[in-house]
Amino acid sequence: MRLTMKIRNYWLHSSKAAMCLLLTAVLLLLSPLAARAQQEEEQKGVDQGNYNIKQSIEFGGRFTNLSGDFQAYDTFVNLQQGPRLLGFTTEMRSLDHHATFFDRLYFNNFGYGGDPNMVSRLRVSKNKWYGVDALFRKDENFWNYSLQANPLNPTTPFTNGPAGYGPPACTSCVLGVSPHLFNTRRKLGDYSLLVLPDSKIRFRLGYSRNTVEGPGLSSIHEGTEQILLENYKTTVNTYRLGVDFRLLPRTNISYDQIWNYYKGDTGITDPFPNPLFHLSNGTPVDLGWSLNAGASQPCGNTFGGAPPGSGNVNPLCSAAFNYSNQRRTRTNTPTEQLTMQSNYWKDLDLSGRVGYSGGDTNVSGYNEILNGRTSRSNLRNDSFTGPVLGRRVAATADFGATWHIVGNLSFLDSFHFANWHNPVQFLSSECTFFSPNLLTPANVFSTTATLPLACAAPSDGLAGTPMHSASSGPDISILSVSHFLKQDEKTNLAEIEYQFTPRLGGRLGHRYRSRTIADASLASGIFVFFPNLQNGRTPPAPYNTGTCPVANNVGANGPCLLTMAGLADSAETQIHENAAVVGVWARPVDNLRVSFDAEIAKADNTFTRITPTETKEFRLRAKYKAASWVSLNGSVYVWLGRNPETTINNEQHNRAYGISAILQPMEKLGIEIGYDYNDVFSQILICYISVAAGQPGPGIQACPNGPGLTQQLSTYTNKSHYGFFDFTAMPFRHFTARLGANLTGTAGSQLRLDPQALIPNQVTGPLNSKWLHPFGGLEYQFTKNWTGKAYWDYYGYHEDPTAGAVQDIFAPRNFRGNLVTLSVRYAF
Amino acid sequence: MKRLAPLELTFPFLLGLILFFLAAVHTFGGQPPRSQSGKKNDQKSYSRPTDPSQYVGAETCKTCHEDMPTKGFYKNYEDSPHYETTLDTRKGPEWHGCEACHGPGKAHVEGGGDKTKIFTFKNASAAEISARCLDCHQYGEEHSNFARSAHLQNGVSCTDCHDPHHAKESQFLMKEKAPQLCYGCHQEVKQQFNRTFHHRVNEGLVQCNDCHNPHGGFLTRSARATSSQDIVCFKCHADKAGPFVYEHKSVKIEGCAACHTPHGSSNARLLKRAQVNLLCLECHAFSADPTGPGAPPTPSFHNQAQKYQACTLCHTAIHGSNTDQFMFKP
Repeated sequence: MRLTMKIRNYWLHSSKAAMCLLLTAVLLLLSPLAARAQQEEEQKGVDQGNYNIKQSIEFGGRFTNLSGDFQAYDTFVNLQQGPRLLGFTTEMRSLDHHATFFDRLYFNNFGYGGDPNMVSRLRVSKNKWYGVDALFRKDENFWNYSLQANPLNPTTPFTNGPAGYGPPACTSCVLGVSPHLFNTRRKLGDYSLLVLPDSKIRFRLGYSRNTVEGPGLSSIHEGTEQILLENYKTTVNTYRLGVDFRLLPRTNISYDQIWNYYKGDTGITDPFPNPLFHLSNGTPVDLGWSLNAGASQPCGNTFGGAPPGSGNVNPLCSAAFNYSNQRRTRTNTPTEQLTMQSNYWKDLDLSGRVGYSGGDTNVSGYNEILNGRTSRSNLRNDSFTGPVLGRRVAATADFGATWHIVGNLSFLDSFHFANWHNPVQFLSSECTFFSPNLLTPANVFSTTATLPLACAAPSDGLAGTPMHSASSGPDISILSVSHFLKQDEKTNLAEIEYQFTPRLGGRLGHRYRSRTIADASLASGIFVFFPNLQNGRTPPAPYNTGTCPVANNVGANGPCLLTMAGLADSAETQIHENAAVVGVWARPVDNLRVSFDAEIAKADNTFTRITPTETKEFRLRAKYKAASWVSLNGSVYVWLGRNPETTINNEQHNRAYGISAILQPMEKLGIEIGYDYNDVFSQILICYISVAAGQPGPGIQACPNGPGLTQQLSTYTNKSHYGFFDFTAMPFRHFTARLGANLTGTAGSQLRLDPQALIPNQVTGPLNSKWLHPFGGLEYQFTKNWTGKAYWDYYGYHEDPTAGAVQDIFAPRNFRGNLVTLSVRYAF
Repeated sequence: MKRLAPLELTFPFLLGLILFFLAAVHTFGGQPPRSQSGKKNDQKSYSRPTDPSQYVGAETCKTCHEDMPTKGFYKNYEDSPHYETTLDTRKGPEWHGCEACHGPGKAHVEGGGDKTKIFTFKNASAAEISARCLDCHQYGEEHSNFARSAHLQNGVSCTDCHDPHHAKESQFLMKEKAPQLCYGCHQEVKQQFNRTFHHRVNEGLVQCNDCHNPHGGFLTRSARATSSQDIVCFKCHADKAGPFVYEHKSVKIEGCAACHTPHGSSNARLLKRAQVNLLCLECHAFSADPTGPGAPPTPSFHNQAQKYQACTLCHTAIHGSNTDQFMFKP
């Protein structure tokens, strides 16, 4: 449901809980708590037993006042109102560094109570004995940004369409949600234990867990693009066991055994037959996301079902009654790793790493069922299943050495080797049933012939000869498809580093990178074609080796069996890249630091068209402390890339220039201010087809190798201005005021496909937009331990549809959000 | 206005900058301070003097440095993890207390606090500073490549991020909270994380060092890898890792950054282009050699004026599929 241009005003409609929280906060702010006696302890914590303990807790509530596109707000910000635990920290330190169970403990968390980001961290250590590090993160991800997968349906009405879809305009065709909306939660846990950290042999244990769960929308292209509910559920468990050996002087050797286990249980169903879209027998169907009457999508005369003018769905349409896609994916990857680091020889620093991963992947229980219709092929029911078996094997080896040739001169070498290959096989079985329309169940063909697969008939199937069309695929398909992808990569960076003085150093080097990418596939299969047209149909592309010959018919008018010989394909790409590397750093005076580095590379080949063959990268950073209260920073980043191949003509750049200052003219006043300009550009030749009429027209070039296609130079620009300031003042004792902002303005352009007849719903998306986040707040420390805080945040998003760019029909996705957070912090 | 081609910019820019640095050093540099390790500009690994008679012990340091240079200086040190070196009973005095980092203090004490007689980090080179710290801290995968890291190669030492005596953050003795610490130099990254679509670094959920190892590594931009030696993105986005029967090969070969700008973008899903079809068409386009290797071209019936402009409406499993060669389903 799209909730544009409404106001969610929690000032007026705040919940009881929030009001209670506000009241509590105010009472606490006004409460004359007898904490002055603890004034001295606030910085130092309290000593209790053998520990010094510092704690702080900040809690309060947030109130929101939102207007505009709530979906965009929730996608970008998603900070809602309600009570919150804004931060909690406990630090314990043993006074004599010899406590019984632990010497140091640190616990921190924030975001609990409903914020989209929640983090907890625990560190516990006992000198020489152990160290525990635990990090738990939970984030909520809401996505409803109507762009990427949106077919951008026009409002052209459907003849006889139901309310909202018929004349005068198909207002409901305009999708109110992103076809790929989701609302998921990710939980990330990383836990590690280090035993005997200072001993010659130490042990490491680790466990990580990553889960993603939640609902989302998706689509499947089966004639039309049916709306699907995708229930995300993935889990990764990683276990690690490591041992470090420090038996040799200045040398560490580590061995790690890691086991990574991925479980993918995401399932997909289609629970969205639209009650407004029904057949003449009243059965609702899912016509999918693409509703374009002018383009006959999902089909011609979509609401032309009998009786005429009734608005019933045309039974010849592509549509779905139901759809399901379930599977269990398991990837089990053990990894062994040996690392080494040594300064055993005085002038030589060495480090190295060797790792091997040999993982198995399998998809079991794969079961895809479609009950609907694909008009092109008369497909009515489809059942697709089969296991997936595969491997992922990765071997890596890294080696680094620094040779201090003389005092100021060093030679550095870093070598990286990575070789991985993924052989994966899908053994599929597919049973397909056909019927001439949505109102007629599929015909189930009976035969005495021995078939390679027994197919279960649809529950409503009718015995008879299937009604195939010339485009119908096989009735039974058994395929074995194997794919193999491999990359072998070697990179070596050799550098000479020279320190002219302690204030000036530089380096010069050469990077060589070699990649071999191999890709191979092999497919074989058996196809069964039932009458009718059993000798006039072919397997689907790319297995279309011709029609099933009459000689293969079993019986006079029986099924035709076609065995496909192994279909092999392979390709190999080799890329060699050389790069010059240079870097200089300087500290001309104590207060000035400058560094510059550059890399200029050229490759003899690329794997993708968008990867440049020539790149240049420059980075310049400077820090200048002009006075004790003024610090200036500047940075320049320039990346240039191109592929001059005439059929590609790719040029790209990314330039960023930034300057910032930190000012503290007096103890109670601090200012941080900065500006950054970023300029991104790309051009590349593309071929495409758009509005067919008149292409290619005057001034538009035909695609050299694509008859009927247009070739244009696709350009993209994105110029962004980012400014920020953060002003902090303490005008009175115990009182702090803060005001700041992060402001981003983006102006850009991209190729407008088909300039002769503009596509009305081509989008530029957010290319011309402003993203504003000013904030401010007051803090008052009314006793040594208690601080009251009141903060305001404004989030404003504004797309500019008048900036000379065509905006999509959902734009602008503007919103404004005023957030006030009242909190109390107690610390000792 | 004529746009300068990349090559036209490169060499004058490079030359100018180098000349600028040399001129700046010549003008402002004056007499460079002598290396404190004894040899001029010695950037080798730190070798601790082992003569016990040269060491005075932390308690001696305390007599002067209890409140110097700042009030509570020594107490602050006592509360820090480094103090635990004084508790070590197995190693010699060169591994204990203040002198574990600052070197033997006898000459300094006998010189009445002569600063030239002891190692101070303030005026030392990045290589010297780092050599001192790494003598204890480099053993382990996390720190083992710092000597070849981009940070050290650009004159950034341990004490530019960590402050053993006046750390603002108790954890790892950091000078500043992340990501503000990183933004101090990497300004171009700060603006990326302040775009509408970004990884939640400013929100505190993700940290720079989740993806990068600031202490260096063997991968480009000091990127980390997953535990199964894959690109770091797959640690969180595990469902994209595969392997798949039908791979979107550019994902595996060129990495996620072929299509996404990982820090932040004004484009949805951190894509490099605002409109998804313009991104896809850049690879899936006809070329002079349409039968050659590379991405298959967009079919001729994909009229970009219609639903086909929303590529991922149909190609939902764009990162890879196990069951469909066109990536229509997972």
